[in-house]
Amino acid sequence: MIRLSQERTKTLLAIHGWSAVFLGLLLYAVILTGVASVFATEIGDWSSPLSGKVEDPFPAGTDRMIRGLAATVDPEFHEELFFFPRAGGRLWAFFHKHETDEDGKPRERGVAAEFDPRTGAIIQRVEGTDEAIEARDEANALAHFMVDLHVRLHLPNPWGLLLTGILGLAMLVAAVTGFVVHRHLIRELFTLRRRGDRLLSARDTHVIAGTWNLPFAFILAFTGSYFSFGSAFAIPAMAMVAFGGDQEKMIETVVGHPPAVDETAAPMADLDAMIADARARSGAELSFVQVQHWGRADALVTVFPRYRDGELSTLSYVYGGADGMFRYAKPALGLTPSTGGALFDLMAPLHFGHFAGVWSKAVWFALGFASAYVTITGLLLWTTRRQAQRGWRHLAAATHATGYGLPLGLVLAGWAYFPARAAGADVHGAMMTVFLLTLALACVLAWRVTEFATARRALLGASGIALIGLPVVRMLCGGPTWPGAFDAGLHTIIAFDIGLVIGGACCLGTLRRAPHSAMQKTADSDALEEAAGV
Amino acid sequence: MTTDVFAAIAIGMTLPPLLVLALRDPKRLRSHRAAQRGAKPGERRALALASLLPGLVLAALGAWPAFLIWLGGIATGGWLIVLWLARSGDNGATPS
Amino acid sequence: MQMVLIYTCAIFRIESAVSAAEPSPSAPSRRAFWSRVVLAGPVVFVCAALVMCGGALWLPKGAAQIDNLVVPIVLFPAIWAALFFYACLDRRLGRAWGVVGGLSVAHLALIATHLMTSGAAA
Repeated sequence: MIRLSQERTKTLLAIHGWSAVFLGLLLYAVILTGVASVFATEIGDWSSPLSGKVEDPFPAGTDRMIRGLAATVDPEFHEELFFFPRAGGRLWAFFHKHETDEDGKPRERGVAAEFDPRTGAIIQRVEGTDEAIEARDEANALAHFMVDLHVRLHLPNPWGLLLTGILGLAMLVAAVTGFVVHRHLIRELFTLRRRGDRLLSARDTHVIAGTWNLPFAFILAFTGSYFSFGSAFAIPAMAMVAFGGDQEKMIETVVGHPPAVDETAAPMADLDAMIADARARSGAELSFVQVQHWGRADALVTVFPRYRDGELSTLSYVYGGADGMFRYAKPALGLTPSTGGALFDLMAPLHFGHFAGVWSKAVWFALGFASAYVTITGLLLWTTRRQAQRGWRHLAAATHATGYGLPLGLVLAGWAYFPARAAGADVHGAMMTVFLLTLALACVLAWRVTEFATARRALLGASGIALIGLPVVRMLCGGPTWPGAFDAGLHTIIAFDIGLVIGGACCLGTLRRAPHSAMQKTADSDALEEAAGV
Repeated sequence: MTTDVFAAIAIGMTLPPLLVLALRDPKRLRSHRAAQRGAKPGERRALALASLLPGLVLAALGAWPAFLIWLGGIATGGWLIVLWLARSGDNGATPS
Repeated sequence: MQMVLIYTCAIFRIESAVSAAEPSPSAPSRRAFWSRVVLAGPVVFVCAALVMCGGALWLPKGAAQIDNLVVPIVLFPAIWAALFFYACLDRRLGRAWGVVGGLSVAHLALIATHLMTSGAAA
């Protein structure tokens, strides 16, 4: 047991509370959108299905689709190719070259196409930089809206990533200090006092959720800050020190592909055969294929499978692009297993929870929800204690506006997506406008009401109705109905709709209970002090 | 599929002792002013061990994905049990 | 703007919370508080970044010749957290500055030497 002096405990308590106060609202936004992002793939499948279920995103005939696209693409973009399944099972392929933008940052430019794997037909074809192509992508736009908010709060790179990295560190600090300061409360793991002082009860609610969720709060914070800082500054900084600023060279070194160059033109071997071989070798479904130097003698095809049942890391399978021969299997990083590679492998499954399909995602969703709950209840506790003071009342209002307005904004972004897409309007702009307007209205409401409970009820009630109405909006805007989805084998759509309706019913159900106990005034100032933890 | 089955079995084996541990937790009973006697320290240790055992077995087998799902499942399950017991206590019921 | 004001006021409240153990916060204790805020905030962050980058030069490369590059990046949050808590909790502020500053200077020197050597070689 860690023994701390009273002075150190006070310091840690102050760090715990104030780290949350400074960054808590943004952290809540990142966590809440992270919860939604756990099901980003399913959001894409639900919001943009094809007319029928795609049984195999890499069917026999993938070679023909990719080869056909390659023939229409400027050879300068044959430097590299990715193809992988996206929303609704569409196969997305991107032929591109690497270049640097005006600020010297690396970017990709090329031609992207979306295929229907069932027919091999091109659904959409776009050209430009990776960022421009992403901006014109409608099928994945709703999922991207959530993911982008989670990853960088829709701020430009690298500032958004740096901010979310700092938020991750703040969450790490809150988790560690929360454990050290409240460790005696582990003995009260099952005690949630509902009687007596309401703020004490609110404190219990916060601490109980935090205690049960502690290991995962730590894991999510650690891996989250790694992902943010890794791409925002760690890789460029490391490349500066070890490779004279050449990030491409660093990534090449770390990934471990041999740099042998042979620019002789050579036809590509059959991709279908390589895909079938990689399936047989890995015993798993595939997630991603990369081709370097399409149409050259030194072409290299790397096939990345999904996680095999019971494993948290995968090998990728490398083939000679010209002869189609299997060359070697390698870890994600390096050519042989290593400590660094093993640590790197662990980061993604621990953060995304996608290592065992929908069940691991469901658990990560629940844990993320618990983290969001801990964050917002902690902020409510902190601000409630001080809401009699003028300045703190503003923070209490901001906490209510964000806490209950943000989920509503996310759901209403979905309401904007479907009609905007059906009308051929800019879906990204529509979603962002509705999201920001909702947040602004939530702020107006929270600042104008005399009792925060009123704002809470209004926003929660609206969220409930919006969630229940979202499947209806989807269907009214041309999405499949339940019988249609059932007949087409699109069961994800029905399951997702049911999930939304249950979520909405839960929001409305909470309205039947008493207002959040944390917001009830109490006269006992000593109890307030204890409850707020200062 | 094996991972899901392992995790489901492990969670299924952990939740009953966890529920008994919660129901007989002395602090919880005191806070609810329940007349029921809380579990003795030895019983609580045995129940805690029984709760953790499935996870330890998964770890020993090297079934790490199932272990992570189990850990997340009992964290969520434990939290929900506490909320449920608190509400039951609110309603004046003793869920035992 | 109001949020900025609230936060500006808030930092003063941290000071009172942290120094609450002392009978009356004097000018030296206030200076010590701000010194610790600077140390645990920007200085520790820069130090963690330098340790991460410098680590590439002294960590073993491992079997795949990549550990020196990958391990410091993956463990950056842990490096930062260890330095942050040390900077917050060491009772002797001068020693904390010494340790964090020493680590920073050592890694900065290592990086500078490497860059100059590789620059001269090129």
